[in-house]
Amino acid sequence: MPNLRDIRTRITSVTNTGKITKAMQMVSAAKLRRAQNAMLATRPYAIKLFEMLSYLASAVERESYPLLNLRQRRLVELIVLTSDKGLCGAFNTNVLKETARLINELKAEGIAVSIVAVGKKARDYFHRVGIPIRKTFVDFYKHVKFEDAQAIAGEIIESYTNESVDELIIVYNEYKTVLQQTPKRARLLPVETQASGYTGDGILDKFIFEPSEAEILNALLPKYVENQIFRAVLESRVSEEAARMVAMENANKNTKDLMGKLTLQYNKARQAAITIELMDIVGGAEALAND
Amino acid sequence: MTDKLTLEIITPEGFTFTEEVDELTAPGTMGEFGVLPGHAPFMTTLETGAITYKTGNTSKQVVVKAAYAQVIDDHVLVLADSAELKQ
Repeated sequence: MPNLRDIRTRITSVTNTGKITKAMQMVSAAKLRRAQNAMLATRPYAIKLFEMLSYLASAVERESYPLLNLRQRRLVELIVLTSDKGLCGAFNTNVLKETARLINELKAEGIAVSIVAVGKKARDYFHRVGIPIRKTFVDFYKHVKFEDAQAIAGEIIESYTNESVDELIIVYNEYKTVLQQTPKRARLLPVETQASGYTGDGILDKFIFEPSEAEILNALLPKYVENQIFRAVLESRVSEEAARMVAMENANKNTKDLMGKLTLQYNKARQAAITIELMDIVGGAEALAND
Repeated sequence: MTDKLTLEIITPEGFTFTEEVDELTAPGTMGEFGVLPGHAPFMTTLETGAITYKTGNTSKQVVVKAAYAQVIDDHVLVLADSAELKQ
C-alpha cells in the first residue's frame, strides 16, 4: 500500500494537470470561435469567385487551359494539412492515415506521389516513415493570412503548369461539427468548374471582356486555387481547435475521475493509519492496566 | 433605383463593402475606366490602385490590390486580394 505522502503528491500533480487541461480547453474554445468566424468570412468571396469563373470557363475552349485540363496522371502531388501542435486527439492521425491510404492507392495504379507538408506534424510524420517531402510549410497557423495560402499555391501552380505534376490533391480535416471532423481529399488541379448552367441564357455574348476572356480566366484560375487552399487551411484550423477542445474536455474528465479514486485511496490509507495507531494505544493501555 | 450603381467589394479575408453610388472610376489593366448606371455587362482585371466613387457631390476612394471587376445590371462587383478604405 502506497504511503500517505506518495498519494498526496500524486493528488497535487493530478490537480495541476487538471488545471492545465481545463485552461487549454477554454483557450481552444475561444480560438475555435475565432477560427470559425475567419472561415465564414471567406464564404462570400469564394461564392462570387466561383460564379465568375464558371461564367468564363463556359465561354472558352477548355483544352487550351492547362489548369482546367485533365491529363494523364504520372505524378500526383498531395498537400497534407496537419497542425503544428499536438494534444488534439486523433486529429493528425486521421489525416495522415488517410494520406497513407491515398498514397497506397496511387502507387497501386503505378502513379508517383510527391508531398507538400503543411504543419509540423505532417513534416515529422513523413520524415519518420521516410517519404521525401518536396516542400514544407510550418508556423503560420496562429494567424492565417491569405498571403500564406498564396505562397503555397504559387509554388504548386508553377510545378503544375510546367507539367512536372499532373494532378493536385489536398488532404485535410473537414469540419462537420465540434464533435466530428473527418479527413477529406479534394482535387484542386485541374480545376473542376460547373461549365453548364450559364451557356443557355446568352448573357455571355453580351459581356465585354477586357483584356480578353482568355487573359481574365488565366488570371482568375490561380486565384481560385489560392482561395481553395486558403479555405482548406482555415477549415483545418477550425477542426484542429474543435478536436483539441474535445480532447481536453475528456482529459479534464479523466483527471476528475482519477482525483476521486486517489482521494478515496488517500482517505482509506489515512483511516488505516489511525486505526493502527489507536490499536497501539489501546494495546499499550491494556498492558499497563494488567500490571 | 435605376440611376444608381451598387458597388460591392469583397476580399478573401472577409472585408466586404457595399454602397450605392452615382458613378465610379477604376484602374483597369487596359487603362482606367468609368462606370455609370446603365453600363453594358463588363468583366476586367484591375491594377493595384484606387477605385474612386461619387455619391452626390462627395467623392471617396478605396484602394484595392490584385482585383477583378464585373459589371452586371448596375451591380459592380470587385474581387480583390485586399482592400482598404482611404480616408
